[in-house]
This record gives sequence, structure tokens and C-alpha cells, in this order.
Amino acid sequence: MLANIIARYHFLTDQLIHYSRFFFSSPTFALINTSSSSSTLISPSTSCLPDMSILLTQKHRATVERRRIRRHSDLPMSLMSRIGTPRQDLHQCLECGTWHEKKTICGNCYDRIKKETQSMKDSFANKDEFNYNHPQQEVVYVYNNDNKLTDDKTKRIVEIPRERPTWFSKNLIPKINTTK
Amino acid sequence: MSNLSTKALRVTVPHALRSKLTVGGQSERHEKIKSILGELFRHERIEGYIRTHDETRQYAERLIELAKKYGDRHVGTMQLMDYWIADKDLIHKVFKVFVPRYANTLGPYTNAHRLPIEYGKHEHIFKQRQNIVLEMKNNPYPRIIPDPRNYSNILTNVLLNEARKEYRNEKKLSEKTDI
Ligand SMILES: [Zn+2]
Repeated sequence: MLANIIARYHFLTDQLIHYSRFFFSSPTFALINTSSSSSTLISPSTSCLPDMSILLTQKHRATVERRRIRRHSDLPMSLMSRIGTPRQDLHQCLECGTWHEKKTICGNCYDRIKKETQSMKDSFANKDEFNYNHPQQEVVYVYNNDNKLTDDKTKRIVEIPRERPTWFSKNLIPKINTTK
Repeated sequence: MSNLSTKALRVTVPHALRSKLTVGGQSERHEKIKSILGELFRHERIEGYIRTHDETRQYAERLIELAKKYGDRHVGTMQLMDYWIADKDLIHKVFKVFVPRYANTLGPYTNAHRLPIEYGKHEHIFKQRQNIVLEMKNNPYPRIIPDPRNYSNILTNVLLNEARKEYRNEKKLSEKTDI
């Protein structure tokens, strides 16, 4: 019910801004160009704010009701609910304990996987073959402390002169059954 | 071309999101998808913007599904391969590597995971750009999702197992005494 009302409210405000162009000769919001004031020679500090040459300002004063709604109500357009509510969609990684957003993977754990993947790709010596005439077999990466594979034609063996990392298990397709 | 039907693919993207890719018309969209497809088939694990890469996923699935179904002697399949894969050495890779690899697997042949959002890195600072990592399944690189854990030795599980055993023993004893 409330969601319906809010959606209706957003729809109406969007329409109002859209059609106000036909009723008034100018838009309800005006553009300010502050770049002309650069003659005062204040060097802009490098901040996280966007380019300040264009700012959106109010052209008409908002009514008291509207201002109070913006400050104190529970609607999504209210400042308190928009900025003041803490985020509830953060999860903690089970492996390393860093925080990451819901639906995303842990960035800290992914970093080492990314580095390892890149170094494995780099250990493929012949770059031209990889990029223009890709090997037509399965590429197998063999570390120093792994079992030596028999050199048959069905697999392309790439040797890496390092020890296998402890977190990189040799079994790439484990049977997923956490209860046993 | 009309009889080149696969089963319903297990990867879907809502239709409304397609409009994000048509910046320079359909031909530009096809070029973008072709470049991402080539990158995916060559490197087997790539990162990129979610809209483009999640849509390219469907094309990769469909090409492999057709290659599994019809083989490399089929005219329509080879025409599709010729159109969608720009680098011709990758067509051989599809038939010689991916088809034997996924011969016994059903369902999606690719994985996609959402990467953490980097705030403030986009050119419009207050917009966020969701990137994903897209990979072929059973690739030789380390797994992104960590190995499944063994939870059987956690204290609560041990206690629950013991309680279960006790409950069963008591039930057996009570049944014997009733008879
Ligand atoms: Zn982690």
C-alpha cells in the first residue's frame, strides 16, 4: 500500500517537472555557470566533488510544508531516511573477515585469485600462439610439487617454476556435499 | 536458420536491459558482443561491465549448445560460428576443447559473479558501475568461490548428533517395553 503511494508520488513529481516546461516559458530549475568567476584565481582543490562549473539550483522557493516534509518525514525523499539510515546489506566474509556488499563476492579473497590467475597466464611462454593460434587441447598448469603428467597429445602441459599455493586445491571439481 | 533450436537456455537477461547495448545501432551491438565472445573463449575468465558481459553470456551458451547438438558438419551451425566468432582459431577450440569438456554436463557452461563496487572510480562519480567476472566452467584457474567447508565437527553439530542418537535409543527401549 505504502509502496504504491510512493511510486505514485514519484510518478507525479516526474510528470510535474516534465510538463512544467510547457506551462512556463523557462524550466523550474536553472543552471548556474560559475566558471566565469575563475578570474579570482582560486585554484580548485582536488576533492571528491564533481565538476563545479554546472550546478542545479532552485528557481522557486519551496513551501513550508514541503520543507518540513523533506526534513522530518519518513518518506524516501526525506533527508533523514535517505542519508541517515545505516546500510543493512553488508556481509562478512567467512574466510578472511572483511566486509562486502550483499550479492557481491569478497574483494580481498578475489585479489589473490586474480593475481594467481594472471601469473598462470604469464607463465604460458608463447604469447603469439596464445593470442593468434590458440592451442587445440586442454591447457594444464603443473606446479613444481605436483605429480608429473605423461606427455600425451591430448593435453597441453605448462610448467610453473613455483610451489602450489596452499589455498589452491588440486581438485578443481569437488563433490559439493557440506554435510558429510 | 529457423530450425536451429536449442532447449530453453538456463541463463536469462530481461529484455528491457538490451536497450543499454544499442548505442550505435544493431551492428555496433553485434561488434561489441563478438569482441567479448572472443575474449571469453580465449582467456576463459574475464572481467567487465555487467550489462554487456551478462548479455554475451547467452550467446556463448547458445553457441556451445549448438556445437554439442549438431557437430561441425552442419551448415547452419557453422554459419553462426563464422558470424559470431571473429578469430577463426577459436572455432576449432569450441569443437575440440569445449564440446568434449561439457559432453556430460547439463545447464549453463559459464559462471558469473558480481565484483565489489568501486565507489568513485566511474567517470560520473556519484554513479556506481557494477562489474562482474565471467568464466567458463571447469577452467584450470583457481576457484572463485572457495572450497566447501566441513561443518560436521562444529560443537552444535556434534551435540545434535549425540542428542539424535539418544532419542533413537530411548525410542527403541520404550517400544521393547511396550511389547
Ligand atoms: Zn574474504
